[in-house]
This record gives sequence, structure tokens and C-alpha cells, in this order.
Amino acid sequence: MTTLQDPPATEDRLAATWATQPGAAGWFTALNHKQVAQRFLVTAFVFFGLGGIQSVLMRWQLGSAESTFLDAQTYNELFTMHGTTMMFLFAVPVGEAFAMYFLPLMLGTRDLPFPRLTAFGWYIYVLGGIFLYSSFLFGQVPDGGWFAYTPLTGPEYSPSSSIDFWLLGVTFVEIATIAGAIELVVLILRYRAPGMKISQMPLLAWNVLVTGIAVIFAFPPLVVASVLLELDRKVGTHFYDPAAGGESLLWQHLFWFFGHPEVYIILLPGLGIVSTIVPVFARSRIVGYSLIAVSTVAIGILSFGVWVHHMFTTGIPQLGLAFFSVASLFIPIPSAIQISAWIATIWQGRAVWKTPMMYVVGFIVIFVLGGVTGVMVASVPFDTQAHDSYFVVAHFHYVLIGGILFPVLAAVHFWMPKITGRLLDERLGTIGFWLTFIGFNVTFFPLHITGLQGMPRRLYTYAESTGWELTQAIATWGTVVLTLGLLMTLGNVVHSARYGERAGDDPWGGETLDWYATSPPPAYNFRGIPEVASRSPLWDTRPFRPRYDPATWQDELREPRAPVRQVVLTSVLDAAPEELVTLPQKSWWPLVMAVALTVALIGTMIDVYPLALTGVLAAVVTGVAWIWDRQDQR
Amino acid sequence: MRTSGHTGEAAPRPAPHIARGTGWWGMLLLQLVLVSMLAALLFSYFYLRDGFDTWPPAPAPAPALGLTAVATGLLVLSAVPVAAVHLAARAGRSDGRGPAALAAALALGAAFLAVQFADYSANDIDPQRDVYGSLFLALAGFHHVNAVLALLGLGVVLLRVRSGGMRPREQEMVVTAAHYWYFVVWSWIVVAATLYLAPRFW
Ligand code: HEM
Ligand SMILES: [Cu+2]
Repeated sequence: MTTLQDPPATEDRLAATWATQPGAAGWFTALNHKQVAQRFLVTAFVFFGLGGIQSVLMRWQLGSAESTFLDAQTYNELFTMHGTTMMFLFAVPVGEAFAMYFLPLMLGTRDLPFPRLTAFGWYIYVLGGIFLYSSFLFGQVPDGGWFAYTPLTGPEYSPSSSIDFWLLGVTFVEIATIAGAIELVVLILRYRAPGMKISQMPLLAWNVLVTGIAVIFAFPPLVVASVLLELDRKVGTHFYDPAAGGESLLWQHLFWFFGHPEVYIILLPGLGIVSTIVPVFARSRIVGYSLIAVSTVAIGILSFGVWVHHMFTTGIPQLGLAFFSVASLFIPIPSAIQISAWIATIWQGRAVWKTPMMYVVGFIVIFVLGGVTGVMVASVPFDTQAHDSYFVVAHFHYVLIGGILFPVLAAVHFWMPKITGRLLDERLGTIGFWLTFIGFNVTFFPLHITGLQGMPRRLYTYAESTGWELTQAIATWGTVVLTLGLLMTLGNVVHSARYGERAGDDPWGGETLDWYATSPPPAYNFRGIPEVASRSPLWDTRPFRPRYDPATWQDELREPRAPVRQVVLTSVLDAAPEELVTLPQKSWWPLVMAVALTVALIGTMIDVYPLALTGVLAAVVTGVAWIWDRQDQR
Repeated sequence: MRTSGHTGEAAPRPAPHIARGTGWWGMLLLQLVLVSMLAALLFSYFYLRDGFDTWPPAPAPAPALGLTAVATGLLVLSAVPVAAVHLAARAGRSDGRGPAALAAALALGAAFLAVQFADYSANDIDPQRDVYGSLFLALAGFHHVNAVLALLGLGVVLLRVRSGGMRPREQEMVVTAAHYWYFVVWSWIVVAATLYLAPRFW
């Protein structure tokens, strides 16, 4: 028996150093990537649920002609909040959240490079989301659509505070997204396991790398656009005000410079998840690794060249239209390359049909359909017809639900066993998949037809004589099925987290280092940092035995000399080990900083400028403390 | 391979490591974020300017250059002491002149801001009158917010270096703060060229 006085055995020093302190204080100061990423995941799914409830209400309204279930104003608020929630509060953060949890594991390291920034990002994400949703309490729900076009959202036509909730809340969430992107890019460049050359890292890392860089370039213009609009609304400037020399179209340019890459920012992590899952269940190495990596980069670059295609109907010069239309038509090529590579991989291997694989194939089917309609709307003459009709609603739900929701559900089924250590129920999973897949198609396929029949989007109701009721009613019944499917998945996840069968460390025969860690992984992920020399380390030698040389730095990592959290930095291209560095252990500053900024936000919102100033000053002081005081040693 | 540094470690880190540490990478990416913001602001400026026949629109006079020339000179000058401290940190030198150099940079940076603020009232910039003033506020405001934050950063570094010398933490702070300051300097040249010179040519 050990007594309290005994020094912890060396074996335990690693665990003790990485352990989060118990209690509320520990919770609020926790920095470990898995703990914070779990919060990100849960939060993103809560927002998905809220956005989902809003969409069900809308679908109920649309299911019958001249329905009085919702009035026009409520409908406007619902589609605005639904679109905003899904795009900003669910789709982008959920991709980052999975990357924050699993990339450090897949790359063979112990944490993200800026642990305090990780925590800060989550706090402002949550607080920004709560801020946006608090508009319901005040009856001033944003109603300007998810892209908040001026002049509708300017001071003249939206005098109430609803748009301020939108601008300030969404900007907070954007800052969280940018912070996450910076972390992930540095992680991928500098924290890979020794020996993991950049040409050998998992494809998910390529996708997240490109996504991160796209976020870094695409989100700041939207932050700028939002700040300028907020200045117009609060300070009386004139950026979007034609009467004093401003222009409304400026908002559209800045917004779509962000908005189009946004679609790929949502999509790319999904593609990475698919490239991760396909080889594992096809039982075959991925075909065309380099082609997939290159086409991922190509998608990232092309996505910045096409923003004007959202504005074909705004009266842009002819030559510009032609240029952007052609650029838009190039985008499908790299996507087609990836799809071919996945199909070839499945073809070459012996596919095992587990739930994650079903979602992947569901994704491919849906995404191809969405791509076809995308090519249609990329042509100017067709877009002039279909613009702002239900055809577009159908198209972007195919791309978005296909592009992110199905890969995310695949990832849930694939990685939950790693997070909880327990398997999901395969039968429930299969039923959930079919309900979701069929429900989705029944919901959104008929809307293409409604659109071609001429129904404009964002219409809260329609007359019976229009002939739109049949397809709209089918869509509503489809939503019922879809919702059942999603609830079944939720039930499966919740139930299995407690009662599921034990998964073991590697239930699927995985390819990457995440399956080398135990399930659930310890806070430090790996006791010895594995050195790798190929793309599929776990498939080269079985069982996987990383090289371990006790006389080296490996030894210090395994048994830290002092109670510090250490990781190994490696070089950008070849991942040659360069240096062991320490990371902060815990910190209050992320929380304090987020709260200070929220105070500033509230002060701005309610026009109490002393309060706003207090918040800003508190944030500055916190910033100084943050730089000054970093606790690396226990 | 070098194994390094928890808090309290006294020996400085050698140059190749400190020059491209994670702090450096983080600052590089932050600068890309800021460049993207700056690009959006410049786009807005020229996009809106395009809607006018004469720029700046009456009654604003073409901006006078005298004060801002002085301010710009001060700001460019401030990069010199910052670079000196930066190089010392990279080499792991702690030669006692660091605090003085940082204090000089702080003073020059603060003087820059003071002269610029005098310039705005002299040039009759009014953000609420028309979009010209609004754009002035946006571009100059963006720059000055970064300048103030970077000055705060340099101030923290000054206090740390004065009390503790160049340990690994201070080295990393110096590198990060110096790169932030270089951004403040070069982005001002772009912003000033746009606000003060562009109206003379277009
Ligand atoms: C879960 C099932 C979903 C259903 C039943 C659904 C349904 C709807 C409906 C009825 C509208 C309003 C159409 C209109 O009146 O114009 C809409 C709009 C929209 N949805 Fe969804 N949706 C779902 C999921 C998603 C997801 C996952 C995303 C994004 C990742 C998304 C993004 C959007 C956007 C951006 C809009 C446009 C909002 C606007 O017009 O401002 N939806 N959706
Ligand atoms: Cu687009």
C-alpha cells in the first residue's frame, strides 16, 4: 500500500502532469485538446439540433398551401436563424472540432500548439452563439437572411437590434473559427510524429491544412464587412449608404468573397473524413494519394476565384460574367478526381459494409447529384432562370448535407468508439442510415421540381392554385423520416456511450496512429511518441511496434524530468525531430478574456459605451496577463 | 536534438530554433489574417472611390501631407531599435541595451500616433459626413488598433527583458512582438499611400 507521502512513481508523472484538475476550477481552466474538442463537438451538435428544429417548423408551414402555422415575420426569422446556425455555428465548427480531437492523435502528438487559444476559441464560440440566440428572449430575432444583404440590414430598413445580434454574435464565432484554423495549420506543419514526411501524412491532414489556410484568407473579409456594417448602424458612417457615396453592392462583394470559399471550407474536412474512412473499410490502401492531395489544394485555390457566380444576376459586366462562369465550371474537376480515387479504392479492396462506410457511400451519391445541379447553376443563362428559386434550395442542401452532414455522421460512427471506448450498435446504425438517406432524398429531391415550376425561395406560404403543394407536402413527409433517422443516431450514440460493447483500441483494423492510442485515449495520447516511416503505419508491421531508443529524447518524453507537458517539434517537410518544447498546463485567461470581450459586445449592443469601454480595457489587461503569465510547470 | 525549456530555464535557445518556433508560425498566420483584412479594406476603398468623379468629394480638401510625412518617418525609424532587439534575441544575446532600445521604439510609436491624431483634425476628417471620411476611419482605425496592440506587446516585452534577461520565453516574445511591429510599419506605408497619395493621382 502506498502512503500519501510517497512520491508518485515515474510511470505516473506523465499522467499526473497531463491530468486536468478536478472540480469546477479544473473544468474552466482545462486546455487539453481532447477535452476542449469534445466541448466543441457537443456544442456544434446542439446548434445543429437548434437549426434542425427551426427547419422542421418551416417544413411544417410549407407542407400545405396557405398554412397559417407561422406568419411571414416568424418565417423570415426562422430561415435566417436556420441558415446562420447551420453555416456558421454547425458546419464549420464541427469540421474543426473533429480535426482538433483526432488530428493530434493521427499525427502522433499530444496536444494542439496553442492550448490556451483552443480554450479561448471554444469560449467565444459558445458565448457568440448564446449572444445570437438571446435575440429570441428580446423578440428581436435577426430576419435578414443568412447572408444579411444590405440595404435591408442597414440602419434605415432594420432599425431594431435584430441585425446587431447577428453581426456581433456571428463575428465572435468567426474569430473562434480563425483561431482554430491557426492552431490546426501550425499543428500540421510542426507537430507531426518524427519521420512522418508531409507526403506521408493522413489525407485528412491535407484537407484540414487547406481548409485552415482558406479560413485564414476568407473569414477576415467577412469580419471586416460586418464591422463596417456595424459602424454604419452604430456610428453613422456610410459604407453601404448610397445617399452619402457608399454602395450596397460592396456588402455582396465582401460577403461572397467569403461565402464561396465557405462552401469549400465546409466541404473539405468532409472529403478528408471520407478519404480516411474509405481505405479502412475497403481494406486497401487509398488509390492516388498524391492526386487526392493535389486536387485538395486545387479546390482550395479555385474556391477563391469564383465568388462572383453568386452575383450573376446583379448586373456585372459581360466579360466578368464569362470569366467567373468558366472558373466555376473548373471546380468539378478536382472533386471528380477524388470521387474516382475513392471508387477505385473500394473496387480494388474487399469492402466491409459497416455503418461508417454506408454513410460514405451515401455521401458520394448525394454529393454527385449536388454537383450536377451545381454545374447547371454555374452557367449564366440557367442561373438567371433558377436564381432564388427552390431549385437553388435543393441544390445547396444536396451539397451541404451531402458534403458535411453525411461525412460527419460517418465520422461519428467511425470515431465514437475511440472517444468513449464503446462500439455503437450496428443494427440501429444501419436503420438510422437508411432513414436518414431516404428521408433526405424525399425531402430535397422534389424541391428541384418545385423550383423549376417557379416557386421562389424564402416564401412563407403559397396559394393552392400554384400547384406547388404536392412536392412541398412530399418534402415535409421526407423531413419526418429524416428527423427519425437523426434521432435514432442520437439515441444510439447516447445509449452506447454507457452500455455499448467494449471497442478495444482498434475495432476497425485502422490505418493511422489514432488507433494506436488506447480507447479512450489518455490525456497525453501516447506514452512514447511513435516514429513512423510510411503512410499507413499500423498496416506495415502488425502489431505496430514503433522504434524506441531509450537513450534519446524519447526517454525524456516518456518520463519527463520535471512535471511539464512536453511535445516534440519536427521540421516542416521531413518531420525530422528538432526540439522538445513545453506547453501550458492550465489557465484562467481564456475564460476571462472571452467574458471581457462579451461585456464589450453587450455594451455596444445596448449603446452603453462606458460598459463597452470597460470590457475593452478588461480585455487589454487580460491580454497582458495572458502574455505575462504562462504556467508550464506544475 | 535539443530538449528545451520549461519556465525558469535560464539558458537562451539557439538561433535556428527560436527563429522558426511555433510562436513565429502563429504570428505569420495572424499576419495573413491581417493582410486579408487589409486587402478587404483596400478593396472597399477603391471600389467606393470608383463611384465618384472627384476624390476626395467636396467639401473635404485633398489631404495635406506635412504632418503625416513626419509621423511616417517616426514610425519607420522605430523599426530600427525593434530590429536590433530582435536580432539580439535570435542570437540569444542579452546585452543590457535591449530595454533602452525597446523604450525608444515605444516612444517613437507613441509619437507616431500623436502626430497622426493631430493630422486628422487638421485635415478635417469626418467619418459621419460622407463615405470618404468613413473610409478614412476604417483604414486608419484598422492600422491604429494594431499599432496600439503591438505597442502593448512591446511594453510587456520591455518589462520582461528588464527584469529577467533573455530566457527562452522572452526570446519567443521578442520574435513575435517584433514581427507584429514590422507588420504595423509596412501596413502603414500601404495605408498612408492609399489615404494620402492615391487621391493625388486618381
Ligand atoms: C436537417 C435537415 C434540413 C432541413 C429540413 C432544411 C430545410 C430548410 C428550409 C425549409 C429552408 C428555407 C427555404 C426557404 O424558404 O427559402 C432552408 C434554408 C437554408 N438551409 Fe436548410 N435544412 C436542413 C439542413 C441544413 C443544413 C445541414 C445546412 C447547412 C450546413 C442548411 C443550410 C441552409 C441555408 C444556408 C439556408 C438558406 C437560409 C436563407 O435563405 O437565408 N440546411 N433549409
Ligand atoms: Cu459559390
